[in-house]
Amino acid sequence: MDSLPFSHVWLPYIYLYGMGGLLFFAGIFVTLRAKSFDLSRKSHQRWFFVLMFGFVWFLVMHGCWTLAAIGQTGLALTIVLVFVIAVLVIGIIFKSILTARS
Amino acid sequence: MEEVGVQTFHSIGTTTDWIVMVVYFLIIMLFGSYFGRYTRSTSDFFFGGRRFSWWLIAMSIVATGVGSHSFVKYSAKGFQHGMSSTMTYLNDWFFIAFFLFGWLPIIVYSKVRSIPEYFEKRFSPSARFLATILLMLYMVGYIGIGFLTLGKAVLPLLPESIGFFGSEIELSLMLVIIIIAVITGIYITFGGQTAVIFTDLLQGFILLFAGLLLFFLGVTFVGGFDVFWDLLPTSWKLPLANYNTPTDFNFVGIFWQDAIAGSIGFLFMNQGLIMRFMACKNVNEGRKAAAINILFLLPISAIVVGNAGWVGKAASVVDPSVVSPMTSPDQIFVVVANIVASPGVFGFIMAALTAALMSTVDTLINATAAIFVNDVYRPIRKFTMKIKSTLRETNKRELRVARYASIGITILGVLAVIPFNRFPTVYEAHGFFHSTLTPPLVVAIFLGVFWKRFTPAAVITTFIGGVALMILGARFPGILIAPFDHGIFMNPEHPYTYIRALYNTIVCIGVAVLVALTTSAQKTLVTRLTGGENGKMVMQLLTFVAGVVFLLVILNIGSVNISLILTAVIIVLVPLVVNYFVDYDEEKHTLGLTAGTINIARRLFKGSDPNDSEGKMAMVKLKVVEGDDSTVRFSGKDMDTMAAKPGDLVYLCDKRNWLGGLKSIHSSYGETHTENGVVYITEEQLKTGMFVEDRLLTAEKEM
Repeated sequence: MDSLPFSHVWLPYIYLYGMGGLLFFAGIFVTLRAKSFDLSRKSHQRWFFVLMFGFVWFLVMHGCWTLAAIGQTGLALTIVLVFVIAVLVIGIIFKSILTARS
Repeated sequence: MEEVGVQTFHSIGTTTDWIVMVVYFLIIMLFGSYFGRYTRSTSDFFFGGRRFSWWLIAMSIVATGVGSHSFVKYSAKGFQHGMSSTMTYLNDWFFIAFFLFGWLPIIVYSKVRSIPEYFEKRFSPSARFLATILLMLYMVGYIGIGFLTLGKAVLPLLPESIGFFGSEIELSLMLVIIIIAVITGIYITFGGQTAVIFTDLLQGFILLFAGLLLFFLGVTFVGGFDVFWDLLPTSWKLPLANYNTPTDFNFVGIFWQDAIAGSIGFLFMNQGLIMRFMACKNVNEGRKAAAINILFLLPISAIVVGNAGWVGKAASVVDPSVVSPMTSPDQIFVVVANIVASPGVFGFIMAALTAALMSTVDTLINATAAIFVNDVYRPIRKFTMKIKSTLRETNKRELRVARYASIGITILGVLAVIPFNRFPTVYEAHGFFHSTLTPPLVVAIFLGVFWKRFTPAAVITTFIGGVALMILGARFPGILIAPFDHGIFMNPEHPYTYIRALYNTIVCIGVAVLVALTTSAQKTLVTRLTGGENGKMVMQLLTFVAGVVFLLVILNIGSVNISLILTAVIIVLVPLVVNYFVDYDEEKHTLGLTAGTINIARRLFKGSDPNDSEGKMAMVKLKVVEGDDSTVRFSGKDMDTMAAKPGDLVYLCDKRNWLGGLKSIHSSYGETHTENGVVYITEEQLKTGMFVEDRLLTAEKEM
């Protein structure tokens, strides 16, 4: 296994989700503040879930891919499994809440 | 321009491959022409009539996104640097909230037909004029990149020269591009947006299939997935590039060039993409199309477009005589496809690639023609012509103009290839192009949508002063861009190809914010300057001085310090001039055009208060009646099912989902009748929706 510097393995990952995350949450904050994204509307609540899912989806995808690349395949697969279960559980809870409210 | 020692190829492929390619192209063109008949007006030609479902648009966007130079450029970077070639496809989510709940509803509800039109509504006609120039440059540049990629993809398939009436004609890159441009121009000229959307739908599926097929064949060729994975060095398997080296492919530069400037540019100012979203039946369908595309289709596409490079790398490790490590990166896709696929299959893969590239170029030409008609032709016609013509005459004339414009834009796109061909690979050419042209427009759109205090003076100064600072950055990169370089080494031949996007964005934001925040000071100064008898003359003189100074900056008079002082003069003078000459009322010009006023935009779009109560879809049969073409009528019971009231907006569509909304109309609810399960429509609505009389329709309330 080649040994790669931090600047190749994890620094880009931290920069991508640090800076990108800042912009992503700024987007949510700005649109919520402008009320164009209105969480009192049911359809927008669904979109909030989709937005969060998307961010974590890419975060996990890049993280697991990096782990697999550096030979930590077992850990990568475990994280994928945990992610799938978490999304399912949160999705079910979220849907139940929405159904109960309606 | 190729690097020294790089191996290039000619005459790849067999006769079978050529037959497959020709047949493929004929089928695609026939398919497009069939849907071209659904073009009845400029609205259909450019926007597909605002009627399509999310899945159709999402797949159609795949062909536009994937087809856009991707196979060639990402395979090249995959071959040179590994799986980090995917990073540009996996970083679009960061701006999604801004797009879904800011820009998308604004462009739909404000009924703008082009991005420059937004600038006129939000700011002023002069802002629209400058935005049109910048946007046309951006679009023509994009078309140029598309043509360059097409040429590079097709060139390896062709012989070095052909005999023509006894003389040998060399098949150069430019000649190939010109031939391709003629074919592309013919297609788009007679098709229109509906044809492009449907052609792209078909090609979206085929592209994903062809790319995944190539990956499967490639992995099988090197001995299975485990062998393939183990063959690649660790650095080739990582999804992100090294932080700041090498100069031609580093993470931080590409983050600013692509994740920031590129993603916002693509989502917010690519007229081709915007038109796709405008073709969606409503805002929510547009949101679904965007989200599905970024979340799922782009990751698949990332593998589809880059895998030839990874397979090429693995194959070159196994046996350098099969795939030479010195293969020209821009040709690796064709080389690998030829090695791993059998004759005929190779032809199919190449046909899918070239057809998709044509599809992208088609979309862009169509979009640029839309900008030309909307932002150049119509304003000029409005200004020069006094005689009013009927809607039918206007539509006919504008369709003709759109088609001529398509031809002119195709020619300009071919000319744009010349400067881009000076870069070692298409990837770098595209990166430089994005870094340079997107920041001023991106900043202007972004602040225009999300900051009410952003004024015409600020936007125009961003366009002029920001561009002046960008020119200085390009001229003195070691002084001006270096402080932002994150440790990236400056290659003197192509200095800071990617990270210049950060400098360009920062200077544009800096100018924009500075001018917007000093609005009241500018107004005070303008009042003082124009207080005397010669006020107007003073302002005309300042306009002249600003113009001359801008010219001096362009002409490179003096050192960096002098150029910076001159630019500062521009940044001071332009806002004063704009404040004096442009009438601007913040309340009026932001109504329905900023994120904070989207609910007003919805009200303006509908003409009354939106009805957001959640109803269900109704299934109805149609009945043709005499009456008002602007409304359709349902029974009271059906209206209750849809939770609709007279005056609400309704979308009426053929029940067959697989048509994706092709046969549909938008209308308003009229007064109720008593026949449950029946909708009353007029003969004209029947024709517009292309409905079949005995087919069931679905009706849903929009708002």
